[in-house]
Amino acid sequence: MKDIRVATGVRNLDEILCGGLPNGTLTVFAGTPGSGKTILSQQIAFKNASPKRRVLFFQTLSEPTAKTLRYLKQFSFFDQKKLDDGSVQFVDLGDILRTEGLEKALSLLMTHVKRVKPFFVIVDSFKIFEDLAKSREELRKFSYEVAINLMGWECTTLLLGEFSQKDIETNPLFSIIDGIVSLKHYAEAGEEQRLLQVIKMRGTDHSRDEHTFTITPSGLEIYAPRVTIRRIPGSDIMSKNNGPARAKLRISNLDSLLGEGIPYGSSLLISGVAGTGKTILSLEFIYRGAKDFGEKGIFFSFEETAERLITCARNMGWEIDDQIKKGNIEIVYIPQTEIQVEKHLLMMKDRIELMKAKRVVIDSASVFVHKIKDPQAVREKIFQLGTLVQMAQGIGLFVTDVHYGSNKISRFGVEETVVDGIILLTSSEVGLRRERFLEIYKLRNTSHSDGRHKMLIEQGGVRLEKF
Amino acid sequence: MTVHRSDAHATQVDLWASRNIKNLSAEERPQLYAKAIQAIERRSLNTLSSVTVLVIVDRAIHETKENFPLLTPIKSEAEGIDFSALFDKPDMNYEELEGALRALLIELLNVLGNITADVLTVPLHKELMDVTIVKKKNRERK
Repeated sequence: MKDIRVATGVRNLDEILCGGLPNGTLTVFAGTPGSGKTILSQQIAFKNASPKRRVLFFQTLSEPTAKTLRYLKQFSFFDQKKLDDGSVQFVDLGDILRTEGLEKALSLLMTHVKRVKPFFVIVDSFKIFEDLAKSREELRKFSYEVAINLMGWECTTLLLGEFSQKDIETNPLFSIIDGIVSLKHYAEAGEEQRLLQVIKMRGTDHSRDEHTFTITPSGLEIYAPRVTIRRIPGSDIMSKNNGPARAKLRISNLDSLLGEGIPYGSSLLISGVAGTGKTILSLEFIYRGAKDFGEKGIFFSFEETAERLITCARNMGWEIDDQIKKGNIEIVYIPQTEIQVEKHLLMMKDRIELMKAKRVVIDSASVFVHKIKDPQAVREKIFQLGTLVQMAQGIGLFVTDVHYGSNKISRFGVEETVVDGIILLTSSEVGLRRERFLEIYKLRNTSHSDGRHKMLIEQGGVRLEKF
Repeated sequence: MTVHRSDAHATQVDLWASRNIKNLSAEERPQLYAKAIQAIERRSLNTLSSVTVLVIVDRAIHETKENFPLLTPIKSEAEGIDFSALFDKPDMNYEELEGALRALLIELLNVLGNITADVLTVPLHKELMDVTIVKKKNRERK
């Protein structure tokens, strides 16, 4: 076979499959009704279909073709021209299955295959054959003959069905096929969750993780941060003296506390209880970067709207509107009720790459991951945020809110293990007043100042008093 | 999917033909090709299941018939390819038939090569080189 892999056209699926679907393979898309099997197969079909690479889409009894076509039209991957020129052809096997059974259905299927010589064959649903077979033996024989015939014609084949884990273990079809892709959907905390997992795929290595996805007007969007957000070894920017290149902040005298500066590629937690100045410090980090160093910065906010942050910056006397107009600063507001961690990780990756941002703020990282219950998963997501910064060779500030009176330095107690530095913001009652303090708690590979430093928020920005 | 065609098979078939065909009559030449196709089919069965070989042979015949409709009487059956109806046809143009069977032989090698990622190509080419028509001694004396 000439082409080794077939690009699916589904975002991140080729990365999950380490290069796409192996050509000429027989893959089952298994999942409950509504899990996205049909849309996924149609998306792949329309991506690949051309007059030279035709797609034959067999409908069985599950969904009438007219209905399929009606729903298909709402997706952006749908291309009427590909139906008109025969690149995609739908064949309804329903009638012959109902009246004449499996043998005739196979014969009709192969008649169409010989006529069209398709590159792709899709059968939706294959599960129906299980119900129509008179015995397990008949099902085995039929499945085997379908598999061999389509293999003989070098068709890359997708068999769709409402197959369960039990089917995968017991249905004879699963001993013949090359690949299994499982699609699931369920509700968690009132939200719909969709997961895709490649359980088996001959002829290629692949990710074995479950990956979240959503169905959008463009089809399936798979979020696979473990696959797509990876640290790049040896990509760190080096300075002339062969050490890591470092950034200055020019926020009051904070640079003098940070020693040689923050190495590019680093992420720091900005930790503190409510009201300690985390957001204003992070906003000034973005503003000074753009204004004083020409470094583009992006601020992802899950609490304050962009308008409120801009107003806050104006009130500090910063000319933030100019920097936004020049394209040096972007503020992206995502309401916390709408956070989808893996989807938004990918969105952040795109926005950082598109902007070529060198400064990134996540305000707050604790809100971003607040729906995740497993501390290990929280740790992984914070690590992936850090990886986004490392990939951009920028500087990241991840705000974390700690509970008042807590001894922790992060909300979940795991974030500090994956970041390169921590700036602690605290406050203490002094007489009748509450004073703010800043402490460089940790900064890897940097000889930084220790101790708490009084921090004031004034017109013009943060001011630190050394003691 | 259209068959990906490798020149290696046509080259091998022509090399084999150049060694074996020159002393044959126009009537004998198509028979040599038919014998070669059957030999390839038999050799494939050492490695592949009969159902698989049947599908592959059926495809090769189907693809070749599109350009050579005179091959229509050939049948692919579980017992092997049946050429009898083809050779029984009266008024056969042997030259045309030779060309059609050459195309079928090459197509069969192409499909087998594609499907097995050329794992079987070397043994199949070797099998082909061993296919000859041994003439009867009395005919040779003539």
